[in-house]
Amino acid sequence: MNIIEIRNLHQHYWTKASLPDIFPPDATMSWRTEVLHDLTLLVPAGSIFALLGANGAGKTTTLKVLMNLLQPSAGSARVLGVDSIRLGEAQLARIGYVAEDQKLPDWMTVRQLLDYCRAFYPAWDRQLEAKLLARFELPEDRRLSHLSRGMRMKAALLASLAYRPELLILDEPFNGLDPVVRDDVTQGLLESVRQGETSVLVSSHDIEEVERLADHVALLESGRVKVAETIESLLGRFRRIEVDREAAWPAGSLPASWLDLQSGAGRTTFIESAYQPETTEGHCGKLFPLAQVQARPLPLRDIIIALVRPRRNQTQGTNT
Amino acid sequence: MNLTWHIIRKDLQRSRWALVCWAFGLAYLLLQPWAPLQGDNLRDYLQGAAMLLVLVLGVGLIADLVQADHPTQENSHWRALPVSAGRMVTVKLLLIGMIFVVAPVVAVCIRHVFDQGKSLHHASEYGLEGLILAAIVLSLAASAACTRNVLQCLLLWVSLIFGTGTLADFLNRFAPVLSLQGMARMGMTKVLVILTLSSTIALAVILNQYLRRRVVSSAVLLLGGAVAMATVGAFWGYFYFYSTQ
Repeated sequence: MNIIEIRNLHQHYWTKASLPDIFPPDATMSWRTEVLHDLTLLVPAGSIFALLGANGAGKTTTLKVLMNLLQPSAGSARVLGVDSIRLGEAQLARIGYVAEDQKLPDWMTVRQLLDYCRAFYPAWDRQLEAKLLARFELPEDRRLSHLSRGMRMKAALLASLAYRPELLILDEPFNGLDPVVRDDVTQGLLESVRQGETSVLVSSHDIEEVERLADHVALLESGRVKVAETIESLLGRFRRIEVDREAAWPAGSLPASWLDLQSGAGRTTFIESAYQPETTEGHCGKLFPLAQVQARPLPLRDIIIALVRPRRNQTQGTNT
Repeated sequence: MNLTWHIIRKDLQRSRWALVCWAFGLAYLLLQPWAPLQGDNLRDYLQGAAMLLVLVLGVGLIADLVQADHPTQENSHWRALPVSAGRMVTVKLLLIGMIFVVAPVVAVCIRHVFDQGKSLHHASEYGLEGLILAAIVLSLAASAACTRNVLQCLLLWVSLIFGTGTLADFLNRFAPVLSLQGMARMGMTKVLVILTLSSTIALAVILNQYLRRRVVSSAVLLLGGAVAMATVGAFWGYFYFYSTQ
């Protein structure tokens, strides 16, 4: 069962820019910028799903559409079985949302924020609130405006975890946080998620934290899903292959699953994106007879970089 | 309803000091005939200061109360809470309506009761005062709902008023000149129509911003409303002009 179903989602906005000096001073030109292109994504219930991608890939826009902060230009996004544009108070009471750019009521103290938010959620758990308050070491009587960025993020997270939401949507929660705070946030999240049946959708640039936290990952590129699968399967199908060869560089095409190919004198390395021992070794054996082939597992970070910046076959034909 | 009052309490707590100052200024304006002050200069000075306080704080408070939970900003805190847009717009209209329309009219009424005992004889006056205040407050709230801060709100509101006034002045050149008889027949109708029209348009803009989040259509409504009011203001007298010929 999927807690989020995004199908053929399109989102555009109008970009404005001033015209050169030959035009009147106030003249502007606007054009349509597509942010999401035919995006389809399914988030299984109970998963911790990470959205990764470069700046401008469409992660934040996707999350805003899911929360009905933006209305999609076309396509549909269903959250908790309801179309996102029809999310009502009943559904929103089951969703937690924390975003990097979210404006908190800065004039409130942490205690006032919790008192204010508590009234909206029938399922608010005072014991969990106290536990998270102690875990995050938040000063209850200090105003939010006097808190550091990390502390504010913790306060927002606390206010979104204390009612055990069925779905937690986090937009860049680790941005700009120091390692200690980041660890606190991750641990707090993991504890809360393990205790209940919370599904998490998190967008982040912090691949190390995502690897610790998530069990599913989707990579967005220019508003399209490039990869969406479990981290286990992603880690399983990617390997860095090192070939120590004596033969010359082979002519002809290389398998499409080979990424980031680099070749020097007597040594070729690449990332195999569809690793299966027999198949990969078979390909290498055909192209580089008598070569020694080694396959090493890759951390998620290297896999994502290889996917985002493919340099497949770029050295083909240039090295021997 | 509990959540509605919960949000109202939050807004009142947030703006409590500014509201106290505003109420103090309003109370002084209402009670100043009984103030034990010596000298006309001091009395005039204090009256002017109180009027300025009430005006400036009133504009700032209305804009701030609306923009504290902005209707269209995606990163507003309330947008992540289980609060429907309908509930939030109800909260805002109730709050500004009670504080800036109902409370001043009731205060004036109470003053008259104590002053001359004439409140029951001039109920329509209070209705007109309420309508004037509603038109001002709703148009300010509509400007606040279409802008991002108090200064922008004030600039938009002043521009709309001056724009409407300038257009009405221009259109008045083509409007009929009413005879005394015609003016007597028209009475307050034109004023009531303009006040009702401006309140309705402002309300439509506020609802459009909160419920549909369509900034462009709100801007069109504001501009169209300004033109409509100027046109009505200029040409409303035609009926009375011809009926008295």
